Amino acid sequence: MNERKPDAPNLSLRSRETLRSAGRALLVAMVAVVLWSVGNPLGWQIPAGIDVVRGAVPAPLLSALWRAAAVVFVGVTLFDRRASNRVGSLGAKAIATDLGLFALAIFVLGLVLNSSTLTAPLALAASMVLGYRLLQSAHAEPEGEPESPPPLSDFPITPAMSIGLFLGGLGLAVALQGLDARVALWGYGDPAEGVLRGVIFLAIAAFGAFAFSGLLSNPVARRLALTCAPLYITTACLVSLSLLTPLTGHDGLDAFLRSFDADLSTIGSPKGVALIAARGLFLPALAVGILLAATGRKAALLPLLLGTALGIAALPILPVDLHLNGSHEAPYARGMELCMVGTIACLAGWLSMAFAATPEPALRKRYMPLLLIAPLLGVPLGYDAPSVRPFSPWLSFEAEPTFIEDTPLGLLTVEPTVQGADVLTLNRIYMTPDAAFEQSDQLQLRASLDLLSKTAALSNRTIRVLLAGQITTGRWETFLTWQAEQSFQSDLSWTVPWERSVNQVRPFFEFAGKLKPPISQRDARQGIDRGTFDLVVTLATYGPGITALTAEDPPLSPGLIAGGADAGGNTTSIVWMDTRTPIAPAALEGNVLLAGSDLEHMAIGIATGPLSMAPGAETFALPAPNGSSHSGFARLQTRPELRAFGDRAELFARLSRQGSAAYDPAFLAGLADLLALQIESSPWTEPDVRYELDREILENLQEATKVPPSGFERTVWNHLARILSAKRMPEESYVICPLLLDKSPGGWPEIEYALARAYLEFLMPKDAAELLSPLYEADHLNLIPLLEYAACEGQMGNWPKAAEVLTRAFARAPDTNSIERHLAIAEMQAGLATGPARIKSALARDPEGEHNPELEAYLQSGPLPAPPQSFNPALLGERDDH
Amino acid sequence: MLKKRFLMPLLGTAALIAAGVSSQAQIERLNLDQMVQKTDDALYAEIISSEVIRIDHDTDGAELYFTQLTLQGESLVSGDAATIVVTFPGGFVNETDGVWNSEAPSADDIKIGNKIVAFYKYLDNAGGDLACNFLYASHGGLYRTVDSPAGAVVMGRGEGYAIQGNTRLSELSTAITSSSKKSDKEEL
Repeated sequence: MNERKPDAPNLSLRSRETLRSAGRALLVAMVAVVLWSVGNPLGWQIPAGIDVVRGAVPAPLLSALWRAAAVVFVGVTLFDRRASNRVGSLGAKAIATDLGLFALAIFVLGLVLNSSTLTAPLALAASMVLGYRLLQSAHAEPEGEPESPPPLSDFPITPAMSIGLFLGGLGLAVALQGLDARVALWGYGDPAEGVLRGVIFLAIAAFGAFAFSGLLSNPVARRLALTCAPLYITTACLVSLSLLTPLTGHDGLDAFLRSFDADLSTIGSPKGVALIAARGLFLPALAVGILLAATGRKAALLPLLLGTALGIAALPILPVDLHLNGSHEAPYARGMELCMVGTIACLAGWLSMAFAATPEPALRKRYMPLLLIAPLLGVPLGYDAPSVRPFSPWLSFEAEPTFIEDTPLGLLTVEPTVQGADVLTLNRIYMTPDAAFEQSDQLQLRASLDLLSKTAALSNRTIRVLLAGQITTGRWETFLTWQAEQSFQSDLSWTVPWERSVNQVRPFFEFAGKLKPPISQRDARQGIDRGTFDLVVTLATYGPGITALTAEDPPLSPGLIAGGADAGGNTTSIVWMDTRTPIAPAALEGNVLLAGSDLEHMAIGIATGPLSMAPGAETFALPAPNGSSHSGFARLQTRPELRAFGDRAELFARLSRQGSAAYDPAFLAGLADLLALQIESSPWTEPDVRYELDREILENLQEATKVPPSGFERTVWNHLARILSAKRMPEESYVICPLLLDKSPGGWPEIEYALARAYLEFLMPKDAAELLSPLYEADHLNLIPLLEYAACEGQMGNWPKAAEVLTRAFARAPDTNSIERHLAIAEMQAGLATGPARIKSALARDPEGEHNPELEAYLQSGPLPAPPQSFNPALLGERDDH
Repeated sequence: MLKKRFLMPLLGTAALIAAGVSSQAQIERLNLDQMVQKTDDALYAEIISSEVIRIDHDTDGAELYFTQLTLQGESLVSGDAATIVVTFPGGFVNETDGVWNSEAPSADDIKIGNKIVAFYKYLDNAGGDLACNFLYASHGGLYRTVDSPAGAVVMGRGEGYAIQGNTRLSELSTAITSSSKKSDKEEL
């Protein structure tokens, strides 16, 4: 074999080499991080296949190519010509130092600085210049260099080994990305979580390189480490999956976190991310560290990193265009298949080299069996990869999916939420709305379609709409309702990336045979490119659920930036996101729509294309970003359910710098001030009660409200009115509501009720009844307002009317004892013949009821008992037990 | 009580069990007469300050948090002006250190500047050897008032509470005074 004997070591030269290498590594890392960030300008990653349209947010493939370019850059520039000139290689400690510096660079640039700093023009320009210099120096001959230090003993990298390393790099990139995507499911999808996992991965790799540096000083050990890398990395991934399996359950995850003095609330925090990442990535990172420490020179590192780059670039197209065995296995399993192939190639290459270099026939005979069994070494690796399927185990409500598919796109499920409705999730993100977001979802679609009807020229052709997302009955009915109102023909198509699973998913969200099947993603893209579609809509996604102090209704994180924008050509694209999505500092462009059922369920649509700014469109240009965003580390340190407060307020502050006729800038500014007020509240309060209100801000909002109020302003005030009643703030309602009613001559039921509720709190039943009576006649009152109105009429002595109202309430809730009791009292006070029988019925329904003495008094002879006169805030008898 | 750091969603009853505080912290079902009998005084006052303290006690445990409201107003029993510090369990000394208490008055109830009616009783040991004027029945002992066009109204909390329905302050004051006198007579 071609090996060189070591000369006497020169320690001072080696130390200088290490330092020089470290300095170079830091510069390479800085440029590589910037390149990587170019592919992620928002930090948010569009999942593969969700990107039917392309545009401002890079499609997954483009993002992947930038990330791959970063890896290639490292491979080409990490070792300069002087290092390459050495016959020997850098020691493992030097590699360990480099890895540590990479981790540091990513931590500083990726977590401490904010993402917009990295992609600022100045930063990009500086990185390009530095990158060019590094590329030049990587290939330039060193000038006037002192004599190189004695090389370590080493072995040549044969073509077969290069191919093996390339395939191994490809395989481990796919496998590790798949594993990381699975580890990411123990989080909320914030991009900073991924960056922190990367830092931890590299730090552990550095540790591994350093820990094994002694062993790797032996050339035989280095050769083994290189050639067997796919084998031990694959094994490490398999073991990691086994280590993650116990964490897929609520109790297992809790026990694991508590062993580190943490709890379920640390999910999504730096500590939580670090613990889960360490658990899931420790062994693979250690293995990668050993592998990289064994390379030591460009001839070995470059094919490995080229393979890795290809693995990164190929991942977005892997699910669709590469079906290695036609199965639905997750990417980590797919990657391990590739690792096996890499293992075999490496082993074959090494053994071939060894065989060819051995002159003695007797010794050759010994290698012959090895050549035969080498391929068989890959067989035991046949992965029955443990099934790792975390269904947000940090939540107290444990999901029990009725449909589960582990697809190359990710973990696809259909499961009931805590509210009982089925939702489709992909990697724990809700692809269809749950009950709380159903109305907002339909309003988003409706607002998108209204853009068409307000701006589309009347023509004889059919207007074609494409929904980039899962069709549901609600979404289809929204389209049908809109379609029936139009004077032109229209057609709705839909497309989803989970094409192979869609026929199993559809029955959960449609009535059989009612809707047409989806079109393929390829057909959708071709249709968009040809201008077949007039409008492409991507609706907002939500999730995963966040551990919060309230068990009943855990909040959802804001979901994905789903899809890009700018479909191009004549197609208008609208991409919707929840207003809690942190896009305030994002370099996005487009025109803004807002739609939602209330402040908590408000979405922003970014529209591009010819219809988005046509006359009649109630949109406005998205203003420039607010400025620098918070650092990733600061975001991770903020509790997930509290991040939304600041994100939403900053978004509205950004929007308020433009506005339009439909979205008054002063109103948006007032809304931003209101949202900036929000703080953490007691977990036992109702959602509306948790809202912080300020009278001055409310007054500013009122002054900014138009005459008559726009649809958006009505939506906001409807929610604020509800909050004023829920929080029992009659003084504010008393001041604000009349002014709003003056601006809405046609009436405004929600505001009228809020004012009536204030009169009730003030013990002014006559004034309350004047407002509630027309609402009652128009059947606008829900159950509690009906009871309140009946109480008003009773307090004014109008018992027949009170009985009539309570009869309607009782018809809505016939199983409610307290309503029957109120009705019985009203009928008795009104002198109705049905009164005594109603009293007896109420007594019989609840023989042990605490109000029975009060009811029995009505059956006694003599004057009737005095009826209640004050306002009871709990008319159904519920206690304010928090 | 539920520590902020331990974000396991718990039901209110479980939180009470974990609290290990005295029975006065739980919500008793009382009418107004019973509340007057059981307490030392009822104040109509403005909340002028709020402070949260922490006690680490050898017997009762570490990290006992109490909120102390300074109330400036008048006694609804005697009519005398009074400035009293009233205490209840729960609260946060900073963003991360403290506990939520499911039985405590809400944040809306205890805002600085609010005018409230508060029933309290002096305790030698409210927990952690803290001697204080303890808010009786937690949030069941504190009621917000609002200024209506016809005068101050005390906002009731529903059935089972000492003040069930909204009541004019003047009427409440009369009722409390009368109840207090009846209570004094019975003691005699």
